[in-house]
Amino acid sequence: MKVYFKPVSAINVLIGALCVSILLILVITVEQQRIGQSEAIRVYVNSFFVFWNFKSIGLTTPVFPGGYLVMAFFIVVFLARLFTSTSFTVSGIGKALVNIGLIVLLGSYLYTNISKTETQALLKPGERLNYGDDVHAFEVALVTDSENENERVFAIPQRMLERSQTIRHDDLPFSIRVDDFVLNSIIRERDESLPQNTRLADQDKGDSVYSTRIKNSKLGYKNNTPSVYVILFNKEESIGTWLLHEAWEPQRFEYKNKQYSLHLRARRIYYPFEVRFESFEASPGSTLLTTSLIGDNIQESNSKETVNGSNHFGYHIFLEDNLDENQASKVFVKRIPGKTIPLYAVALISVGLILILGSSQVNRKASPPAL
Amino acid sequence: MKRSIPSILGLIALIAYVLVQFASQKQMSDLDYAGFGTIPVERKNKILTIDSVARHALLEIHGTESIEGPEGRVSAVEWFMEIASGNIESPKRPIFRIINRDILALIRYNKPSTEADEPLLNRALALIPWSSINHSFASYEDLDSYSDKIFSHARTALRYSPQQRNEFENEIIKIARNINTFRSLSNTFSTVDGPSLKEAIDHLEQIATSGIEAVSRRQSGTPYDSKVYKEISDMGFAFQSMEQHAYFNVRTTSEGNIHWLSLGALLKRSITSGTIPREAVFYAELIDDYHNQELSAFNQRLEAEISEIETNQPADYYRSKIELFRNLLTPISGAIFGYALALLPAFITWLRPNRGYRRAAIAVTLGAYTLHSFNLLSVVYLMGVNSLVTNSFDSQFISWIAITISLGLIFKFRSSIAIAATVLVGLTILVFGRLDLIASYGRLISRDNEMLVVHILSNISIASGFVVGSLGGLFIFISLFSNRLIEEKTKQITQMIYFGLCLTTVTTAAALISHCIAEELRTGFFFNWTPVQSSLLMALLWYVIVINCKICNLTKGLGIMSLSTLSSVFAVWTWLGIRMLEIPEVDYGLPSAGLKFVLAFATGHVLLSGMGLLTRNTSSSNP
Repeated sequence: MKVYFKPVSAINVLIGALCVSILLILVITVEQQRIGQSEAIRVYVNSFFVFWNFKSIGLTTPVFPGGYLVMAFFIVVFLARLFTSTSFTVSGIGKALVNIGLIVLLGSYLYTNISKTETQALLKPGERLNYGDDVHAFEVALVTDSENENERVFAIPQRMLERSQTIRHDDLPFSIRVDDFVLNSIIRERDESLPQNTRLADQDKGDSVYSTRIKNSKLGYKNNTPSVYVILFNKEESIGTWLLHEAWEPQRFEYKNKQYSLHLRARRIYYPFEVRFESFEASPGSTLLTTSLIGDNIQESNSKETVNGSNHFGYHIFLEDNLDENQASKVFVKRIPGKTIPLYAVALISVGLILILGSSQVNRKASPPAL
Repeated sequence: MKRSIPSILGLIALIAYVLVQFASQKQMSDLDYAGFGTIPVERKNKILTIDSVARHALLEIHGTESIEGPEGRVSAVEWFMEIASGNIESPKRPIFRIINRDILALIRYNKPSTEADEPLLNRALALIPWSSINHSFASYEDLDSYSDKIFSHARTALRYSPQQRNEFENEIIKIARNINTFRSLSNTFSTVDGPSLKEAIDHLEQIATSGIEAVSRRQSGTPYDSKVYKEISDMGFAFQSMEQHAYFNVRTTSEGNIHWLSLGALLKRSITSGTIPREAVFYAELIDDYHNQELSAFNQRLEAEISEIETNQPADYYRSKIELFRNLLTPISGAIFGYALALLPAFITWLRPNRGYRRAAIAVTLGAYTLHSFNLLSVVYLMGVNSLVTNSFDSQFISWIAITISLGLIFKFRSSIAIAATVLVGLTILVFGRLDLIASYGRLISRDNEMLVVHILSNISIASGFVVGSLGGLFIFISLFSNRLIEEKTKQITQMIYFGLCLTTVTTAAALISHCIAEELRTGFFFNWTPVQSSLLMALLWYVIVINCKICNLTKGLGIMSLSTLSSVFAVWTWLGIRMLEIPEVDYGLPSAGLKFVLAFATGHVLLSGMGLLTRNTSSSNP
């Protein structure tokens, strides 16, 4: 078994991987200036490869390993080192603990990163909400009435918008094609300066304007105002092209005697509880927010509690300090599974290092062991 | 005795420099400016001396703590007295620093000299984006006629967050604030566009009784003297305006308790009570004495006030004395001179071992280090421990930590290279810090108490990175010219660098973990790729690489030094580089144009490191 792990566990491999990660971290930091923190993390950390678009030949190709790939490789390297260099000496146990700690640290980062949700909502005192806007993703929502007079929502996630896909659903009398999704855009009036080959909409607000791409916001993903063109069609006819912009209200239309509305908005994430902005007090930090669990019968089952930055039902709720009682406050609701695991991992690494250093001090003649 | 001569000469030079500086700071005037400077006042809930308040105001407006006038050097407190007394020359002094060319165009300002007339040194300095040579200076008179335009642009710019503003908008806000500062200073001891304080008080004394009676009669609906009523009402408005514009509050005692109020507020109260407060009379007469150049009356009045403070509030009195002493001593410029002075014997003794010069280098370094430590201790005493990690003092603090670590290495390894590295690293950080301070003048960034430990650990990590990098870099640089050093010193220096590297790794790991914990408390995420976290992680990974190279014998001696040289690059990136990226979270106002200097610094170190790796006995030298 050790034979298979030997090549991966070599020190040269570890040093090579460390050098690659230094380069990647440098790029992530510098790119935060150009595209903002959230986008830099999305492009360089939450990906297996960093892609480069060679515009002259129209080719997009991976040019560098992404954060996930580097972290996965490190996990393999540390596993290999764990198998190949563990021995039942004080130093050996120390090395094993360091390797386990590093594996847990990287693993917990990957786990947390994949399963976390971050939402924000605007609330005034007295208001309540059981959903929030995802701060990292947008969606197109097609809303229509259902038979039991409730609204029915068909949501098209951002990854489908980015890939310009065509969506069909059995309950919809038409197909939807999404095209030209732009993360940050401004809307311009159609005039003589209209660039050639610009996509145009022919319905509602979009029939006199067009969308232009601008630089992504540095102040967070949520501060971008995306736009997308939505084309509705069925087998027989084209129904029309809509331009959707995040800053606009939903655009309504009628098709076969049924009302629909189209809206580009932040992805909605529903909580298993509701957040109620109970009261406002003048001093910052003392605002009373309450969370209440909503059960199957829409019964409030939890007592009122002041929450700010504390853990409730596995969610972390933060309130942006606001001194104006008439102004809406931002409530951030985050679900961060495994958030305390890194602390245990750091503790394991520290114990491991102490054992290694302690044993090398006791036996100074022996050459110091590698980490 | 012969060996001690260089040490004695070095120390004498350092002491002489400090004394000359001290003497030049002390005003050579018959007026007791120093005494006036010690009077405690309150600004933004902080008790400071008038000297410090005037220095901060001048630093904000001009970028320095004194100005050059036709009569020679003018200290901050002299300049303040000039403004406070309503001297007609004060608005004509070109003190407002303007960097942006669009603002110069807005006020139609013509720079007195053309670029071609600039001496070569100035043209070289102009390449540094935050160098003072790139600034023009306008007077209050120049700006006042365009103040409507300036304030209109500033109001528009203030609608946007700092990150959304362009350079012109950020600069116009600064100029508008500086104009307000100037106006506030001039209205602290005098009414706004009205009579002098002495005239106002004299008039108030004359009409106080009849005025109060007129007011009470009007309130009760009985006939009153409308002329007197109008006069007292006008005075009330004038004092209210003074209260709103005052730059600082003065100390006043009532029933044995100390209160801090503006002169306007004090005088406004006297309209209802009918008695003029003692403090208002004191300042009015003092300014009047100054205005009429009655020197002995000015000094006697001041002496009486100071002795009153000494008797009733001895703690405030001694605090003010220490503050003034620190302001006059300017210990940090003494420390910079000392470190620069110590470089000479340090290099001599390294190139040609000589115990006398070695002692001299250590003695002068210790002298400069004492001044440096005194400055930081006084900062902690006067402004609290949090001020150590504000952008004005963190360079001094990082430099101090670096020198402390280097001094530890000197005494542990008894190496002359450590002395050279000590003074070089201390000097470089301090000089960079001065530029940093100038670039972000007036923008003291206060931090929470919870973050204090985190910032201190980061500063220790940055400082130790500089020490290790400068040790490696210096050795490689000298080794390029001398084989003897490689043969004789490699083992000792490698040991020293390895020791420093281990220390740097531990402090960087501690700084990173504490940053992660703070981030977890703030946002819920342990590692959020903030610029500080990322830069510390990069540095930590590099140190782990170098330590593994040493442990696994991948490289030895000069190779380890070459790799360690890059520690300085990671330190400068963590300290200055990320602040120049204009990322909102770490934007302290440093210009992004400075990034090319960080890049040049990094390139120089990579080249040096490469040269070290290519030197013949990279792997053959035996540590």
